[in-house]
Amino acid sequence: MARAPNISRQTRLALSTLSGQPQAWRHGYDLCKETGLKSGTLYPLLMRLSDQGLLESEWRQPLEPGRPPRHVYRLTAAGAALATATATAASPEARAVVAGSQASLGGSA
Amino acid sequence: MSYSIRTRCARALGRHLIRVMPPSRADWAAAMKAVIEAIGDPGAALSFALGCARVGYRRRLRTVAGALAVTRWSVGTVTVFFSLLVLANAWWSLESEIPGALPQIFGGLGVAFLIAGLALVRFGPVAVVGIAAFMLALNTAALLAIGADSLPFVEVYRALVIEGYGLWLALLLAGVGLHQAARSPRLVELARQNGWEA
Repeated sequence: MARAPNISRQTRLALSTLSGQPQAWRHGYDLCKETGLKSGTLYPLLMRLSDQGLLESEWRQPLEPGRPPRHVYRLTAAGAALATATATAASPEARAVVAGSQASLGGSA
Repeated sequence: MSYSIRTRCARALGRHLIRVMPPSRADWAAAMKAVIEAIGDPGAALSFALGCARVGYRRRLRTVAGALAVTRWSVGTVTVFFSLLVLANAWWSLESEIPGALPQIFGGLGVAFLIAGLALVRFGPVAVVGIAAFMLALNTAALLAIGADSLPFVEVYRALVIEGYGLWLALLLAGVGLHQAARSPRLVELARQNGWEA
């Protein structure tokens, strides 16, 4: 049996949220709201994922004029694979999140 | 807290974050600052900014420069507190009308420790190495002078000199250690291997 990756609950939560819409670029604040994680927890986690090549980021120009550019994030292919592996090995809730997102993507495709 | 104060605090924290975050994470600091400026709700912006500031400080402490700065401040602060104790002792000796030169010696030592502590914080380890070396030389001169005379309280003076050797030597070694550590490529490499920031 494959061994579950040893990652924290917060990382699993962030991975499952990011893998919900794997192609979409997400803002840090939206991720905070969606995961319920505080910025002090989320950003170190995003930095670590980025260092490990699991997350890609880029600067986006704002839709409203006068606003500063925003940093956006999405999982890389390796990150998406880890999210799937984590969800299948983790709790039923996490599995449900990823399964639900995959089903909705499959339905909309 | 009013709307504008919370917004201003949040934005000030965002600007502060840019200075605090290690250079290797400058892009992330800019990202967080941009989010802080984009959040409309002042309470949410302040809460978000406080979390980001925590990240900045934690990252800063996980650099060799950050850890050395904390050590320098800690040793400096302890030295200053110690100097206040010695000065209080000098005051007490003066008030109690203890004969001999004890109040003056305590006063001089207190001032020397105060200068050493402040110099470490303000000017860095080289300054404290210089002061400690000078005080060790002074201690040696005092020890020789005590040996030559049969002063009253000679044992007390001798004990003070020996205690001074220990304390000034500790400060000298702390200064040398901090100075060397700041220039050690091995320490930087070791820190990097343990996941510290550049």
